[in-house]
Amino acid sequence: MAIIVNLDVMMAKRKIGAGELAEKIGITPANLSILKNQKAKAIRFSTLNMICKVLECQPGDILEFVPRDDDGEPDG
Amino acid sequence: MFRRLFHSDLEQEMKKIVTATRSILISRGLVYFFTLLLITLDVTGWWLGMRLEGTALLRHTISFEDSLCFIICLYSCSIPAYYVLYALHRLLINVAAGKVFISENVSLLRRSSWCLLAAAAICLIGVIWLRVLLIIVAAACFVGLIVRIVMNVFEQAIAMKEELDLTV
Repeated sequence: MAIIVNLDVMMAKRKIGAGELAEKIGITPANLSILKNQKAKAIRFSTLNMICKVLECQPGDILEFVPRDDDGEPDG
Repeated sequence: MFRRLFHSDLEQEMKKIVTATRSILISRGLVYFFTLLLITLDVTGWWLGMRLEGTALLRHTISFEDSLCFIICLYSCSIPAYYVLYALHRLLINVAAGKVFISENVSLLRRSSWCLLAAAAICLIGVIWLRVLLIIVAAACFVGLIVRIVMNVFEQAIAMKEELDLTV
């Protein structure tokens, strides 16, 4: 997958822990870990909304597109 | 009013759970029943085959070769049949434990379908001597096909579940 989740960087900037962030977003720490470890296959708009709200950032700050050869493949 | 509504909702939920559990119990009971039936057939198979000799079947008198063919088919088909029953048993245990869409179930179903097709192939050889076995060949092939399609559905369901599990 060519979409990279830069959640770690934003969390470090805001000085917020994984557990606290998961609680504020309203998802389980396990799911947050899936997102952080680039294993997620999809993200709900509601989750993205809460992340941006809690971290006071734009979706572009946490999601990044990097062109790669495996583009066009349905799964990562 | 609200209290009654809540109670009836809860009752219905409980009823659903009880029905599902009972349904699995009935299925497991049937699997054990068929295992018992198969064991009985295997124990009495030789005697049954020998008894068949000389009886008339569809304007054809069963000869010694015919009854021998019946016995050979019965015992060689027993092996895949035992495996299919074991696979069903494992499948029901997994389903009862809430592990429905897992790859183990898919491989169990795949092996069961191959076992059924293998039994059909064994009986197909027996058809040369005993024409009646053609019914068993058709039945085994058809059930094997159904099991295979169920397996394909399970494969798709596992892919969908994985996608859902990895949606944050």
